Amino acid sequence: MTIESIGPERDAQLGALLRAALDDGADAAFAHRVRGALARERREGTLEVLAHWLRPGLAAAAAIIFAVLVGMQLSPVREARPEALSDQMLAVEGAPVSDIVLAELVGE
Amino acid sequence: MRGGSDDAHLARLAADGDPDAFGALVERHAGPARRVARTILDDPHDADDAAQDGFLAAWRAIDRYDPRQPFAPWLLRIVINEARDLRRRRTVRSTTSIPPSFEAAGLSPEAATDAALIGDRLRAALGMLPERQRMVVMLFDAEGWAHAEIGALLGIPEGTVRSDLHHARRALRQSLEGLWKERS
Repeated sequence: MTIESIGPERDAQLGALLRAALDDGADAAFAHRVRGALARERREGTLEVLAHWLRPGLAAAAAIIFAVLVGMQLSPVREARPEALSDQMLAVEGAPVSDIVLAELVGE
Repeated sequence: MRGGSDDAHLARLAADGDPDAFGALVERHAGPARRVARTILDDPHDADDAAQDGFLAAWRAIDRYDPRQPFAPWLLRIVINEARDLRRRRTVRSTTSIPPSFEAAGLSPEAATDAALIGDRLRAALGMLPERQRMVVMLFDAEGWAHAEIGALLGIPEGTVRSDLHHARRALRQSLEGLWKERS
């Protein structure tokens, strides 16, 4: 067994020897390992995407809540005031106006 | 090189997010990818790590692959880069011999011993060659690539590919001839 050809053509014998020298017969096991790594990477990728969405989502929600709270603090507080006579007159439909005026005067 | 149109079809499916299609590509190209990584990295475990990293990088970049171009050079370029990166990162790591597969291939114990001896001698001879010559002889004689394809992959002129091939073959032949003489 010798290697005869060192020409421009492909040396099939040398090629076969090189492949045999560098092969360990474990290509299938290697492919299985890569498939596993790929599946892990896809899972982690999905979680990363979710985490990527979650962080800004939480930040936005917190910002909205904060803005609402600040807005409530800054808005002028409406003072409670007794209903004016005219309001009462409008509110009580059908009641005679004289009764309402009298009640107001008596203080009921 | 082989499997052009099938590779392109699988790559399209993979680009659409089909992991099984990419898995099929891994199975088709595992052998060449591992052998090419082993021409760069002495340690076969490192070589497999680099080949795996190469496949994962290819998966992440699959939408950038042009299906009109052959898949193997695109993939092997990524694997070569990963192997070179890993070699740069590694400081010193003991070399582990590649477990012989000759007996698994159905050879008799005597033939398997011969083949293992040839394998040891060839690996040692390959290790003495410059990396580019190793790549050229592997891709041309073991993987069946054309001079022009190798030149394009490695970024060197065709004439340089032929010259590297000549030097690599001569060195490997001398190494094996020494073995034949010792045994005769």
